[in-house]
Amino acid sequence: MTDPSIGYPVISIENALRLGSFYQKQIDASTVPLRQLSTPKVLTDFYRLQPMGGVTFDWDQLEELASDFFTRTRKLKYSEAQTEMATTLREIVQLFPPLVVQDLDFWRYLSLVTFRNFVFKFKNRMAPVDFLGSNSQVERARLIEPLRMACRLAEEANDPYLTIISDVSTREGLSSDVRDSYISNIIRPEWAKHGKVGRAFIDAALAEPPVLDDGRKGTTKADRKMNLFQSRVSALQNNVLFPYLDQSEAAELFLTVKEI
Amino acid sequence: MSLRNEGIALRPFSGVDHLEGVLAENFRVVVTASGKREEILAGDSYFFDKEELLRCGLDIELTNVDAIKSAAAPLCQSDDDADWVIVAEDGVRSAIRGSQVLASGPISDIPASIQLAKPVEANYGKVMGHPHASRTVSLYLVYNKSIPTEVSTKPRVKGAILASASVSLAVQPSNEALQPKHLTEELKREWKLSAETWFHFKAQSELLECESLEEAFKFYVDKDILDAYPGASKEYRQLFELQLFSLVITQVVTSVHKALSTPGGELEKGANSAVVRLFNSIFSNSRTLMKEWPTRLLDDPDRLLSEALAAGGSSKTILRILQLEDPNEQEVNND
Repeated sequence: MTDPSIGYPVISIENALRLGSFYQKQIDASTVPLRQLSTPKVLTDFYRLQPMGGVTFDWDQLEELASDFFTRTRKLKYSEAQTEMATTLREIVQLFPPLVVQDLDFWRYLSLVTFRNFVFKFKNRMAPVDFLGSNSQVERARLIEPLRMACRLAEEANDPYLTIISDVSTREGLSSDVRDSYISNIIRPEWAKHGKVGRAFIDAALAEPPVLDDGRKGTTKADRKMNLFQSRVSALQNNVLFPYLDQSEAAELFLTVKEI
Repeated sequence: MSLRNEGIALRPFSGVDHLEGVLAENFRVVVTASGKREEILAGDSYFFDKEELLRCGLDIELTNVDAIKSAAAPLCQSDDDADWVIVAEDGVRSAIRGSQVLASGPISDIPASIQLAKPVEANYGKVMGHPHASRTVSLYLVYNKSIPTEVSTKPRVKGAILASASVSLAVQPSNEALQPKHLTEELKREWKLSAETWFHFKAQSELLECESLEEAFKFYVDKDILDAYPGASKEYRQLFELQLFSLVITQVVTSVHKALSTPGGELEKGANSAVVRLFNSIFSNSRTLMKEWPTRLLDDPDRLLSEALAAGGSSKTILRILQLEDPNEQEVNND
């Protein structure tokens, strides 16, 4: 028998689509919302082990992190569970080398096996866009959102930057559900991939007086003040090399365009 | 003259264009992969197999550092006011999409040769330490001080970009591999092919404009042969892959030659043509062929075909064999 520690698990796009369709049939066949998805009897037909240069893949740690995540999030709303997922993925990124965590096929495995019960729950579906069923729209996959949030903001598990926008938003009498704010101001913008500039942006945005996105019914684009600030920061990247700046230097620079 | 926006105002920095030109003129990235050494110029791309990308040697060489320093001088108050920084940035198909600062230092001490990665050893870091996506490697010259002034025609913000030069280190996207489709009995009847036909190729008339290989052409292989492929011996599979690669490339060369030879047929090198990417990938180990293949294809298609088939090494990467299975046959695991 092959030693499972010789490689890390990966699922190709073709097999991801097959497995996704297998799960979708379970969802469609159920008359009540499912709590869990059952894997195929022969799961090994869908994934393979990608060698990782002699380094052992720590399956036990992965299973432990997943089990801990599902225990912690049993009663949470999706936006809260997503923050918890960012914490878990931060730990996964620290646990495995870039060879593993930069591989989209590894994230297809996590989406369709380890964390399948997180991926399908939000919209009670298993659509290709949710589990990286193609190489386009990668940033919209259910696990890639919290992964990039973690990599751009968190220096450690439970990093306060993962929740600070929600905390300030609540304090200011706005919604605590700030998932859209994280997506449009941190996860999607190209500039936020550099070093600690994502943290610097939050420092500048929440410095008194804080600018926040108000996405409540009846509000307009002009009420998304953090997003307007983000577009000004984005314009700076053509002229200033963001990865050259440390967090406080970047925050100081961003403050210069906070109020125009 | 370039305009640099450092915030609210648009500021023209005289000398920026000149510095950018001098940097581009003197900038080379030397790639060492599979025992070969290639020079890439600013703005160029180099295509790798995944394993090559992970283990390539990379050196930035600056042919005239004094010229670069002189061109930067008018943008600074003193020689100590600018730094050089090398940044690697992930392409769209990486999971994390991050950046990595590879090296930096004062421009007064900028070396003529900067080693970024040693050949054969696995490259290191968030961006360089994986082969799953293309990446950009850029050398930036930046201003390194912040001067509190509202009136200046020179850079005054720390990190202000004075000039940059980049190359793209690209990997053949996996979904651009050539994948055969099943040549079924129904298709043979529909296309009036003999029962013995095991291979069939169909190209779009506008194949040069297509953005994906899937749109540009399709090729079909007898279903029984494809079904037998996974269980065949390794030697047989390798021979079959090579034979299939040769047939497909022969057909592609013929189709592209035909398209280029028709009135109005021309190759937009800058366009996002999948066929252009395919040829660039096949000839990725030869700078001359990467540059000249369109002309050679028009002038002497037979010779270009021989060169494509002899390019070697790339056939396995470029060709993928479908292994289709019926997902409905899986049982559910309720454990």
